[in-house]
Amino acid sequence: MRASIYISGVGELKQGRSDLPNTMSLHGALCQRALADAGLDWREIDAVLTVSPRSDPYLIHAAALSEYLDIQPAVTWTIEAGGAAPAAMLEMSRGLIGAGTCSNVLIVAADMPLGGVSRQAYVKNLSEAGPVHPEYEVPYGPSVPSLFGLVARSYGNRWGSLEQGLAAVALQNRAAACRHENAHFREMFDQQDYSSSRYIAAPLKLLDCAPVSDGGAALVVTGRPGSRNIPVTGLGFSYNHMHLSAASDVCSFNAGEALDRALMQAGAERKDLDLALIYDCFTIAMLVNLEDMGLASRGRAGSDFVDGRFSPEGELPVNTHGGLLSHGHPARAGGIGNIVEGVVQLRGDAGARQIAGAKLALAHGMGGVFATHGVALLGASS
Amino acid sequence: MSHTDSVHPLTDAFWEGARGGRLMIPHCNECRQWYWPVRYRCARCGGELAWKAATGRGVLLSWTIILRAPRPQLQSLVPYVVAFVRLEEGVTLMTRLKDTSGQGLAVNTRVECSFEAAPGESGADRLPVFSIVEG
Repeated sequence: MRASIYISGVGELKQGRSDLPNTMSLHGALCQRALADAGLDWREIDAVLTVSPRSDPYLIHAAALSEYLDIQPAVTWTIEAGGAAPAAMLEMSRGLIGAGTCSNVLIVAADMPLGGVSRQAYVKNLSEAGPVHPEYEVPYGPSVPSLFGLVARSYGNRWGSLEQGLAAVALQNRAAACRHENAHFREMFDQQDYSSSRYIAAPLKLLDCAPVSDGGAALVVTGRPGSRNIPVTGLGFSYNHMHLSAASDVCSFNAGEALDRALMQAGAERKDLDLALIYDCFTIAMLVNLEDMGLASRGRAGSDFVDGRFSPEGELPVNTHGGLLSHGHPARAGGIGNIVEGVVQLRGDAGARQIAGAKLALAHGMGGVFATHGVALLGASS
Repeated sequence: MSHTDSVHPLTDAFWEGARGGRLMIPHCNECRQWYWPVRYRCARCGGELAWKAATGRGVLLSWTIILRAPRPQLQSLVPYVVAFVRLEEGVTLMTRLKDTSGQGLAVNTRVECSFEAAPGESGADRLPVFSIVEG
């Protein structure tokens, strides 16, 4: 039988360029916030799970963090699962708590790509460390945006229209970020600004791409229910490929399998979702992931955005915090922001962005270029 | 480090073939399935894979234009076109399209392989690139 786990604390700071001196101090500040939110003392943490920040050299980063925090958890593990890592760390928490190994798990995904490393080093590292084959593809000089550009071109070739849908995603995310005090970008732009933004990897333009942000978040996970504790009712994962060249199709993948598995655990259906928080490192990722998850018909996600189906007032509100595109993309820590927003919304703490009566939220994370997926279902259908 | 430093002996056939003007792709001797990128074994029949020369012909699947290279050694090529081509053998390769700015391209256009010096590398290796087949 699966253990019941709950997110009892979340800690987030303003995304963007951090004033903190280094990545470790950013982790410390996020942990302190999450613990305060959970009403927990440092000494009660018996597991620390992290992703390895790009801006820090440690292999067992969770041990380095525990030393820095001067705590003595039994478990200090660092996981590599790309943007699916936050969901994977929830799954690890469920195992640790369910087995009785640990009681309070501190999860941190944070990075400082602006303050911590040079831009050139970051771009080179990002483009060569994972999504492309080191021997057969790196020599062609693909950038990370170019991989999503290849997906976007293929999507446009297959379905006809592209730019209007991408623009609608970018605009909706920015409007959402304007209502979030921690968002990296809070200045609204219009259709004209979008259209005239420069190409990064055609057909993708600057405003189709997530920024690089210092940020991330921390979570506290426990086995005990509580009035402000949000239950994690389903977790699902899927793998499709590593290299995009190995995928059987260049513009449809299998995030839907991860969602199916999570829904089965939660005993819920797609129609029960009140809120979907989708991994949107590029605008095209939003469209393809929504279609792959069966939340939009094939080729229709863009026009659904234009029609407002995914707006805060629409049938299924999406990325009410502004997503990676505008709330911010903290390098290796991408994906944890979706979980934080889910918790904030389900607690009813989202202020101007609150989706009234939200009970069940989907928080999605993606590793690589549509390579792997992790879906967390937060809350329960009413 | 250039990419040539990391070539595993078992994959030398790819670069050796490129030096000789042949596009070498893993192929199952048992069921004749082609694979890309390299796999451990044939997932269809369990047979062993061996490198075999492909036709070098295919169609354009998708493409994008790089305006800012991720590595300084490639900056002299900018703007360059990174593409996926689907070979006649059924596998998808990432490649660079030569002799085009990326404007006016169409999906399913016929392309063919040629070889050029790997840019910014030692110069010893030749890299498969593709160009549009005219007519």
